[in-house]
Amino acid sequence: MTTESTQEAQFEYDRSVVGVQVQLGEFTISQEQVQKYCDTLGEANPKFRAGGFAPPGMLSSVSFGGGQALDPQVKFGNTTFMAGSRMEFTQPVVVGKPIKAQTSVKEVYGKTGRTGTMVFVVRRTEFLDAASGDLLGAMEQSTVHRETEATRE
Amino acid sequence: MSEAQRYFEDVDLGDEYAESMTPTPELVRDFLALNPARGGPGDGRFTSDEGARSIGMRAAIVPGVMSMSIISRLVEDWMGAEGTLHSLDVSYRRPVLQGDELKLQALVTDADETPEGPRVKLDVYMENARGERPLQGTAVVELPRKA
Repeated sequence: MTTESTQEAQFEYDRSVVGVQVQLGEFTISQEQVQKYCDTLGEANPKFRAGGFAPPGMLSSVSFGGGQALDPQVKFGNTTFMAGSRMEFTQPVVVGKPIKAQTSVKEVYGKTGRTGTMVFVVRRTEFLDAASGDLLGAMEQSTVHRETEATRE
Repeated sequence: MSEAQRYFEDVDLGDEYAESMTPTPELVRDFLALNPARGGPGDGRFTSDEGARSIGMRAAIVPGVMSMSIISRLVEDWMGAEGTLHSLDVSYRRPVLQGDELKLQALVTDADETPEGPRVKLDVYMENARGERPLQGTAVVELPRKA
């Protein structure tokens, strides 16, 4: 466990997991899953409704195959929220074609803003064609650790 | 929701495209069911008002990945079947409450013929009835040219 102490924030986390890539496993997206996703979100694009391709945004919401991402075990605040997401798509996601996912903790940093001190964890997940190893897309998600108080109703 | 094909030649800077959506508790439940293995925070923020209040929210909220998917759908509807979404970058500014009627909007900010093809940049956001924009970001799309 490392203690990070800057002008911005003081917090503890496990620095040893930063930059370590973990295989999350292999998975395929079925036409049935695509249909359910499209129905839930009201997706109308015929490329996805019946075209044999999965909506690229679906990569952020499917099960990756059982592998566990590493946890930097940030000791700060009492809850986490999503702060941002960046997705890049380099090739179409074909229904039924095996996909491999791998992930790493890219960065952990603290910041103090208008609403107080927060600690951010940035994770990068890459999606690859399981057969060729070609990159299909990548997602960077940052989560924020912060202190919140319960709301009284 | 549009099923029409959009072409690069038809796009002008400042063009706007809007849809609306209300992420009801039922839709959130259906979205969470798409990936039950993934779980979520144990505080119940996505499934009950009580759980959400325990972390300072007013009512049950929409998962961030669902908000991302909703905006992704907006762009995919806009571009049509022959368009290609290259990137989507969003910031979560505040929680999206379940049951909020959301205006989803895309605004063309750049359209350029690049060596890789005709690319269009969009500012995207969702806005609730209180005038708040809980999510905003940018998308880059490649559109086909007319034959």
